[in-house]
Amino acid sequence: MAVPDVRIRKEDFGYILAFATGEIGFYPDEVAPMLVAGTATRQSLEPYRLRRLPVQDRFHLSAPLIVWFEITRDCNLPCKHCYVEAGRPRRDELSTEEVFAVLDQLKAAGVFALVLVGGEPMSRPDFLPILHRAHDLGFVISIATNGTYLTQEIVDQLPREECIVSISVDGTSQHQELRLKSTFADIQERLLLLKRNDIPAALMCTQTDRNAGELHEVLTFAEDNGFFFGSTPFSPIGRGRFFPQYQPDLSTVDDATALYLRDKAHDTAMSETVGLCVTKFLDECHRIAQATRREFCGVAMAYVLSDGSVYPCSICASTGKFPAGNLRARSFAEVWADSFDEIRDYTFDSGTDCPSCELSREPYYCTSRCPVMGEVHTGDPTGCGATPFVKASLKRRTDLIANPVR
Amino acid sequence: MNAKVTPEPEMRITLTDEQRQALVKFISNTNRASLNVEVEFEAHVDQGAIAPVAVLVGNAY
Ligand SMILES: C[S@@+](CC[C@H](N)C(=O)[O-])C[C@H]1O[C@@H](n2cnc3c(N)ncnc32)[C@H](O)[C@@H]1O
Repeated sequence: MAVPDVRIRKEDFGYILAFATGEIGFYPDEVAPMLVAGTATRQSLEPYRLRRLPVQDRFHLSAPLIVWFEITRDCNLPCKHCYVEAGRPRRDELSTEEVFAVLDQLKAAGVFALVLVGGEPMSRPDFLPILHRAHDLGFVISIATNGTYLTQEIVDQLPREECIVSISVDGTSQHQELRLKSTFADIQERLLLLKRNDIPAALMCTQTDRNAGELHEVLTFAEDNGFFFGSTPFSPIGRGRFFPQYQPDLSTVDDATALYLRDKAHDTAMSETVGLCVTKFLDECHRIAQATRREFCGVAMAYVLSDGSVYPCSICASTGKFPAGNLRARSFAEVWADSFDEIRDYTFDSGTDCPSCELSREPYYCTSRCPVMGEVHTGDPTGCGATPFVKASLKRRTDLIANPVR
Repeated sequence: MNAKVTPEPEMRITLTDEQRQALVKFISNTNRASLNVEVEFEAHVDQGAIAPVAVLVGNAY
């Protein structure tokens, strides 16, 4: 499918427009006639861009911006930290036809971006037909993979546009410590194979208590080869709950902050080399969350498991919290319309510790106001979802952005 | 790989036939529909949110 100039979705307030060049914005109804007349340009639409959105009780978009679709829980790696506890497939996973039907429903609902995840998504024998179907339907795609299935034969069949291969890398020697049956050297080879074939690729890292130094080396590899890079802290959920020692602690704040600042600079440069991608929709999720004072899970994002069950996000899916039904029983549009009420009731005013926490106020933007992580860390869904590392890092990084050290 | 994507602000935006049909339908419906909901507040979406520590588990670019 040719990349459309713009993707359009109707909302209560007007429209979301996602331009092929990567900009995403909210617009009032007035822009529709200009678009239909064929006179609209990015420049002529700019004055109409909405600066404010009306927020009601249980605010949510008409559909998620991004859906994470676990197409199988099957995986060839036994990673210690896996939030999915991947290995064997789930009981009664969706067939090829059912996966296609889910993709059709997500498209009909207006979903823009799709993460194909697992387990290991490439372990499904029908992975390529699923990927091609998703691409033909016009989703902006990221494949979240461990990279071990990538060969020239597979690479030859990957879409060339609006599809990024995101390979997990958890350090240099730490990579094998966490992933057991995969090495950084092997993953480097797979990434270079993608590069030789002009396929955009990303290195996605889990930060632990001991790999910040190694992730600096991984980022250098990404910089040297023009790969995207991202990292998130290890969470003690799924299989990770048996390895809480990997959780980053206060001793890693300095190294992780240095990594963050390097990553931010790299990302600014790299983001200009790609049009729409999952990360740009995720940035939009953050913008919506910060402005509407609630998490974006179940508001602008959803997570579909390989047995058809639906959750607001990865953390909910991993812990079984806030289940929203199953696509074998109801369509995605129906589930989205009314099965997320409970999570949509949580706002940034729900946390009991937040009023006395400086990180709940400007200039900070805390993404740990999550009832599930609150419960994981304190036993109470209205408790604080942040670890001491996350809090100290948020403070340090925000202060450094405001007052850069020259 | 890694050539810059240059947004051309003055380039006309072309719709697909399907997009045009959908918009025409929305336009005729919008005249009838009004936002009939209790608005609690207005969210300022004009500022880019920077999430210095994004804790969403799992990762994809
Ligand atoms: C569950 S994996 C599935 C896709 C694929 N098999 C892979 O290894 O990338 C998706 C991503 O989640 C990350 N991840 C898994 N468990 C995690 C945890 N407990 N905390 C943070 N990230 C985690 C992985 O490192 C990987 O980048």
